[in-house]
Amino acid sequence: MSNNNPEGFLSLVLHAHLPYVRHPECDYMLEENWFYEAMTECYLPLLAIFNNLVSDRVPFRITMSLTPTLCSMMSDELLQTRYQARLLKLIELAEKELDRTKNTEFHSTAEMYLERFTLCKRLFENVYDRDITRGFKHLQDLGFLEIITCAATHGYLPNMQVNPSAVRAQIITAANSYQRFFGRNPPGIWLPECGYYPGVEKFVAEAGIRYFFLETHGILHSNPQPKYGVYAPVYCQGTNVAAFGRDVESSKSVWSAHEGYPGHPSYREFYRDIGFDLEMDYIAPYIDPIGMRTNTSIKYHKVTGNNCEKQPYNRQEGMKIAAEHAGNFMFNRQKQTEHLRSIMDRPPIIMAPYDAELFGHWWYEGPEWLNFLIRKIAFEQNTIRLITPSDYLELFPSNQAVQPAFSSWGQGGYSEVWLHECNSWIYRHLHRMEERMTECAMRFPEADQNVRRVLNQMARELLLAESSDWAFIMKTGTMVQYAERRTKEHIANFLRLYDDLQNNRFDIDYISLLESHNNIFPEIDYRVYS
Amino acid sequence: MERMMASRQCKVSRSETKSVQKNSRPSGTRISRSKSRNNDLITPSEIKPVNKNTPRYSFSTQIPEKYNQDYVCVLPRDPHISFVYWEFTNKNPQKSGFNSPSGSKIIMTVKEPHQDNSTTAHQIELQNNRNEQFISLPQPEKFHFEFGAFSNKGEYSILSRTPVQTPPLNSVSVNIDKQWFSESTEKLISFSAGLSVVKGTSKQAHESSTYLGSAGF
Repeated sequence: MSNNNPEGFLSLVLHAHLPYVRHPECDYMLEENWFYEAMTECYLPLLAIFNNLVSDRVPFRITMSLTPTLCSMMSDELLQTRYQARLLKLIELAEKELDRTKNTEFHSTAEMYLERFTLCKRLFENVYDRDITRGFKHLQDLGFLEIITCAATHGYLPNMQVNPSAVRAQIITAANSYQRFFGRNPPGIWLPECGYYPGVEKFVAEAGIRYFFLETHGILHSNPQPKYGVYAPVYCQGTNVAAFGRDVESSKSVWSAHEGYPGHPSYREFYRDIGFDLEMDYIAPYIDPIGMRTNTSIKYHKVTGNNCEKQPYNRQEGMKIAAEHAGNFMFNRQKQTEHLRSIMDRPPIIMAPYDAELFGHWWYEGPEWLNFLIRKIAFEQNTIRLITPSDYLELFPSNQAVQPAFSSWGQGGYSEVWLHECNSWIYRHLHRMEERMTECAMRFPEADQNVRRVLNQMARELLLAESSDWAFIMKTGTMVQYAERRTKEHIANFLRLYDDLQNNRFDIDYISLLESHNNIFPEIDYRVYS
Repeated sequence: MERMMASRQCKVSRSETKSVQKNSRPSGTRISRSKSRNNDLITPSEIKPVNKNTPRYSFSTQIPEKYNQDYVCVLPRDPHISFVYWEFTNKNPQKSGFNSPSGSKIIMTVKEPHQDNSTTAHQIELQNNRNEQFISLPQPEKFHFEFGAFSNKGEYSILSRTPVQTPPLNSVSVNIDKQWFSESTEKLISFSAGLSVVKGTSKQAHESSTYLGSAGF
């Protein structure tokens, strides 16, 4: 079915991000599991889905933001080695599960897990040679994915605006990192947490980036009024940087805890993992070595309903519902587009951004839903077409110029998640670090090798301390100690390096340890702060 | 991503339970101290694992409470609340005239300039040990903070003034670009905000689709 003259466009955006968690000082670190679980449940399954679509000659265009921290972890040798070992253990567990579940209603699900984990292993080892950024790059080079970047360490930019050089460093470092991984300049950027303040576009433009996304009211509260609401991009006044606004309707059907698809009774239940359900003697080799129960990724029940006994998961049933939900999503976008087209003088764009980790990790059937949706849009209708922001800007280069409004996609729509009584203490330190970093960059325009090492590591420590993830975790109240520890460690590391520099001391062992421990952005140049 | 991290609700981070602190280092590791200063780091060449799960080294988490600098910083939290933090040292020339600088009561004044050149001022007396505050403001168009203190003689001195702040907007602009306006604009803005939007605000729209990574936990 041809989609050459659609009534409108749908832009699916998957934002893939994890904070930089890498602990060479330990053989096992609970927080590294965030990365390993996302690899098995989300990133590799998404790559498999996209590859199958390509093999089946399904036309599609999807936008994915892969944050610099995530790309750095995906390409890190230590994490690759550890993930490979985890995957082997997981396959060993899945094989044992085949025996344990024989002649039970869980057996077919156990078979599914073994098959999926084995596929992950094959992709990871044989197809991508352990670095899955290659898989995403390949899909971009083929023209199916548009990969965009994000601020270097996902720093929440509105809370950095008092030090513009810090905002600039987050964006320019991200663009440089993207260049290293994907061999080109990033076409767009995901502002962390959709956090926007008037003026940030100046640095986006400097990095040669053409667009970013805003929460709905970031566009709706623009000055002057946006002619098309969120259904067309706007240019930020004084720049050629475009801003796209999030569509409420398409977001709600996936995000909403009450109305969203992921809560359907037939979908797999996230909170019933055999890491918590089975006897310790059996499960001990596959959870935290100290004996604390953790998720294993093997779960046998479906959501079922509230306040009732969870029923066994049935993959076929889950797939059937995922296909229905994909059809429902497409139907609603068609109707939405037809209505919008009737009152607009140009085809609308519906912007639907989601956390990539929702797909496969929390919503186990999410990648399959995406697969069904893409195929249905390609072959079962003519109203909408998938598009990327770059493609839309190419088709419609003339857009209204406005001043977008301060906004984020967090609770309350502004900064209350990242600026709260529980996490406000961090900003005094971050801002002082940013001032000191800028001061040093100005003072040492051409540093010698040792000083350069110190300054570059100071930049890494500062960027890592600025991750919005730490403030977020402090606000949510989960894993708070880890977030506080990470924040304090990076601050302390930075201040010690600064102090050493001020006093002309060079503790090479200490610098070497930091360089090998917090090894993100090997190409960084501290002068990005000058 | 935030959902992934939030899923570990109610679990204790193992890294916290096993963090190696100064003076509690497990036997078998040797602490190397820099020639120039004390620290609790060991160098890579001296890493000797005690057992599989013991961290081989750790970094200091000691950070200063103060920076011995004069500064005031304002960050907008939302259209109604701003966060202010500050530090005034005894080096501050205005403050040096006080008998007990560190104990002087600091007054924070929120000043709102109006179009008729008048200014509204709200004074807030700060506790001595306080160095940050969330300030609720009834959405002025612009405002700035002034920090001052009274000497023992009752003389008021200004310690610092912040730049003028403009709070985040929370309603649809009344300004229209005639080249970029149509009869459908109002409808499209309402539809963007989820149809049921009350004219002039899109708060409801945001709340109906709030990113659950933040709102759900």
